[in-house]
Amino acid sequence: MKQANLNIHLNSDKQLISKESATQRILEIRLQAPVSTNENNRPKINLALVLDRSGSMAGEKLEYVKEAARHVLDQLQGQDQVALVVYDDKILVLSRSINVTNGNRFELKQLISGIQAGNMTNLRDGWLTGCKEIAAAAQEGMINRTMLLTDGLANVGETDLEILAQHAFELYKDSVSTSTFGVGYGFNEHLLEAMANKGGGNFYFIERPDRIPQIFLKEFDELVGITARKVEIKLELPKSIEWRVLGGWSTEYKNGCLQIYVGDMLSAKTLDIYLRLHIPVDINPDDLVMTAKIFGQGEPGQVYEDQTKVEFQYADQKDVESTPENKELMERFSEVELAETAAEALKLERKGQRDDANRMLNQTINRNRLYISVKEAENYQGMSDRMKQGMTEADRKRSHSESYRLRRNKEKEEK
Amino acid sequence: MTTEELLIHELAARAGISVRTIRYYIEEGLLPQPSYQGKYSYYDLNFLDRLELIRRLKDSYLPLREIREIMSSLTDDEVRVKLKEQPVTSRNSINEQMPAQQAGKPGENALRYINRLMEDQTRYKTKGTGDKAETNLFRQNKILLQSKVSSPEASSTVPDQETWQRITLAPGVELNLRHPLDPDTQSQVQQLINFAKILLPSNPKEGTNETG
Repeated sequence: MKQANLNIHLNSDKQLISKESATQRILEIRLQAPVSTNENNRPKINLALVLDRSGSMAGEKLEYVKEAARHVLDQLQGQDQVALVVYDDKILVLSRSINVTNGNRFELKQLISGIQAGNMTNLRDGWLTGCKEIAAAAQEGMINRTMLLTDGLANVGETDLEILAQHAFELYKDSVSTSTFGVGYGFNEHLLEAMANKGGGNFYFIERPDRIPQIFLKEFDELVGITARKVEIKLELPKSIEWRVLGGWSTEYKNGCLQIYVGDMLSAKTLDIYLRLHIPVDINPDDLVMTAKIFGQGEPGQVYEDQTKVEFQYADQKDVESTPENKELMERFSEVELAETAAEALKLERKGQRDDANRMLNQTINRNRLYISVKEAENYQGMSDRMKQGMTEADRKRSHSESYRLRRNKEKEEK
Repeated sequence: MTTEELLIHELAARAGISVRTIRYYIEEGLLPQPSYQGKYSYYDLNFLDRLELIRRLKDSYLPLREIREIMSSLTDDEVRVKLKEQPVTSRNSINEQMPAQQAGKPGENALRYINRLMEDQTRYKTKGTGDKAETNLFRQNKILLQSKVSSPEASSTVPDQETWQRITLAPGVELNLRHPLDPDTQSQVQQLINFAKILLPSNPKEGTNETG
C-alpha cells in the first residue's frame, strides 16, 4: 500500500530497566518517507555545482567532471536554477544562479568546456560561494543543494573539520544543503563526510574518475525523488538520561528535548536511527514514557507530522535479565555500531594511532559477536588487522565509504 | 465554544501567518500544545483567538517573554475577554514582528551567515601580516567575484562619487565598469565577461583596481 504520510516508529531492545543499577537500552527510531504520488511533479531544484579545478585535477579527472556537469545540466529544466562555481586558490563564479532554459543551458555548457586546471585548493570559499548563490535564489518549496566536488586536501583558507561542519549545519538549518564528492585518494574523507552529514546531503567516494558522471546523476536522482524536506525528529528525553546518537546525525538538546536533523528523505525510503541510552534508577516513572514527533515539509505549504511513544519500566534486575531482547533490532543496531566504530578507528589510524584503532575495533567486534554473521566478524577483523599494520590510502577510503553506507542506510552501489 | 478543528496549515491560512510561525510559538510557549489524534495534530478555534491576541500584544511592543507569561496564564475564555479589552493598535502583522530567525524567505539567514563569514575573512586578510601577494590575490578574487555578485549594496558608496572597477580579462585586455550598474547591464556585463573568458582563456595576472 502506498503511504501518504511521513511516519515514525520507536522500538527498543527491551522494555524493562533495572531499578537497582543504571541500565543501557538501545532505541531504534524508524522513519518512513511518504511515497511520491505524482511522478511528473518533481520539486524545483536550485543547484550550485562547485568544482575543484586545482592543479591535481588536470587531465582525465577534469574532463570527467566537465562531462558530469554537462549531464546534470541536461537533467535540469526551465523551472530549475543552477549556478556554476570553479575554485582552486581563487574562486570563480562562472555563472550566477540562473534558470536552466535551453539558451542558458547551451551557454553554461560552453563555460564548462572552458574550465582549465589551476593552483591550490580553497575548498571553503569555493563551497561558500556556491552556497551563497543558491541561498540568494532560494524559494519556498525548492530543494537547494550545493554539490561540492574535490580531489584534494583543502589547503588554502579554513580547513578545520569541526568548523566547516558547523558552517554546513548553520546553512542547512536555513534550507541550504550540501553534498560532497571526493575523487581519487587525495581528499579528506572525514571532512567531506562531516560536511555532508551536517549539511543534510550525501557523501560520495568516487574512486575512478570515469564514474563521476554516473555519481552526479545518482545525486540528481536523489534530489528529484525527495518527498519530505527538512525532516526533524523531536524526542522527549529526561535530562538525567545519558544518550548518544549513532550515525553522525546533527543533534541539538534543549529543555528535555532531543532534536535530530535528518535532512531530506527520498520517496518511500525507510531510515533507522539508533540511540544508546543510559537510564539511571531515579527517573520519575512518568518520564519513562517518551514521545517522539517527526516533522517534514512536503510540497509548498504542506507539512507532514507524526508522533509515537516508547515506554520503559523499572523492574528487578533478574527480571530485566530474563526478558528476551529484540534480537532483530540488536542485529540491525550492531551493523550500525560496528560501522560507526570502524569510522572512528579509521580516524585514529589516519593519525598514526594504529594500536588504539585496532583495540577499539576489536572490542566492538567482540561485544557484537552475538548479533553479526561469521563473515561480517571476519571482515571487520581483517580491517582491524590492517589498521594495526597501517592502511593504504585506497583501503582507508574504501573502508570509510562502506562504513558511511552502513551508518546512514545507503543502498549498496552497483559497480 | 465550537468543535471545529483545523490542521496546522489550515490554521496558518486562517490566521494569515506561516506554519513556521505557529510552530515557533508552540515551541516558545506562546501557544499551548495542540491535541493529537492519530497521525495529525489538531487546532481548535481557540488557537485563532490566541493568535489574534498575540498579534495585538506584539503590536503594543511587549517583549516575547512577557507575552509568553500572559498567554500561558490565560484560559480560553480569558483570552476572549482580553481580546475585547486589548485594542487593535497598529497595522503591524505578526510576520513583520517575528524574530530574525523565523522571518523571511528561505535562504535569507544563510545568505547573512555566509556574508558574515566572508567579511570576517576579508578583515583578517587585509589586516594580515603584510603578505602582499596574498592580499592582492584575495582582493583580485573579491573583485572578480563582485563583478558577478556585484550587488548594489556592495558597490554603492557615496552616491555622487563615481566608482570604477577595472577587470583584467587577459594580459593587456581590460574592462572598465562604472558602479552601480543597473541589473540589466549587470547581466549583460556578466555575459560579456563569461564570453571573454572563453575567447581569452588565460587567467588574469595583473591585479584589478577600484578607483574612487
